[in-house]
Amino acid sequence: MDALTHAIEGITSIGAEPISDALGLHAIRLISTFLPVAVQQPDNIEARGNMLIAATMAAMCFCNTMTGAAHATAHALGAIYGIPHGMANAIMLPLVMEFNLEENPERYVMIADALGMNVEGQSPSTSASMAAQGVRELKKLIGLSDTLKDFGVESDQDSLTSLVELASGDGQISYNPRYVEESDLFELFKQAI
Amino acid sequence: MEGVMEYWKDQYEPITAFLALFEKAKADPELSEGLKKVNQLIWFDYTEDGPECSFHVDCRNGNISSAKGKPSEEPDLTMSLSADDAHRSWSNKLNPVMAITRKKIRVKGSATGLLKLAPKLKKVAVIYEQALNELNFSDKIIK
Repeated sequence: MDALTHAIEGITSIGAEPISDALGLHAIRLISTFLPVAVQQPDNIEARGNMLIAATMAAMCFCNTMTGAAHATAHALGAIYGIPHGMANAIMLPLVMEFNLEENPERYVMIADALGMNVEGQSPSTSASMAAQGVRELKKLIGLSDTLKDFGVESDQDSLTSLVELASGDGQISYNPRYVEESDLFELFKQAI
Repeated sequence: MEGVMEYWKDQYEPITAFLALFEKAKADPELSEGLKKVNQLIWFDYTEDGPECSFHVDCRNGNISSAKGKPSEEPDLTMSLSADDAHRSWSNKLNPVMAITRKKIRVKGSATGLLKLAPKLKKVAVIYEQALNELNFSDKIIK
């Protein structure tokens, strides 16, 4: 899920460029195809090999573009609650995608298509929103949690303030396609709990 | 030797405009609170466009003041860039983080606090446009 987040945030980052787009989009195609297989059949070498390739491609994608608010919030969740990075990304990613949707929907149409969603004949806004849906479906397929509550994250103001404080100063947040105010971070964390 | 600037006639024009912007920012409760949180002495160094082309903002200890030139004390943060790129940045047409990544802005000191204010650039751009209009610099507004 970290690799998927690298690819998706790489494609939507303010630093996105065509070569990174190509790397990120194909990484998404490989992950959506082979991650469920690798999880269900851990001995399937072809699936695991393709996941390694996908993770490498996604890393090459985001090395050129940086990431965004999913990574910034996941870093804070890892630092304060010790939530594994991929898991924190998996929880925050669809929420951040929905938050960013209005900024550059056409990027999310490409992502929805790479995730294997049927965007044919759909309006651009519907197709774009299918990207977050695609991520949620993939998570369900591999049996991942969708809430920070499972990791003991508290929703009181003090707990959220520490998370917001860390995430707002994280180097990756500045590459998010939409400016993220502190109030937006509070809202994103609350939604994730 | 001073380079040719795209938006400014001389090295004094940008400093006049940027100081006017900071006067307005000080009067804005949201922006002044944000600046106070930064709590640094910041030198905005545009001297690549002329030796007088710089100003500083002191937002330490709950006060905000700004003035032409380099501060007499050692700044906590120096941001060096061209006056044209500064104009683009205050106009919200140049993302400061991307500009740092691409070395259009060179940073000395910690810029984390100031970059936390990047989301406020939308609002800054609105009051910057007002400041430019009041200074009869309307022709410099980036459409």
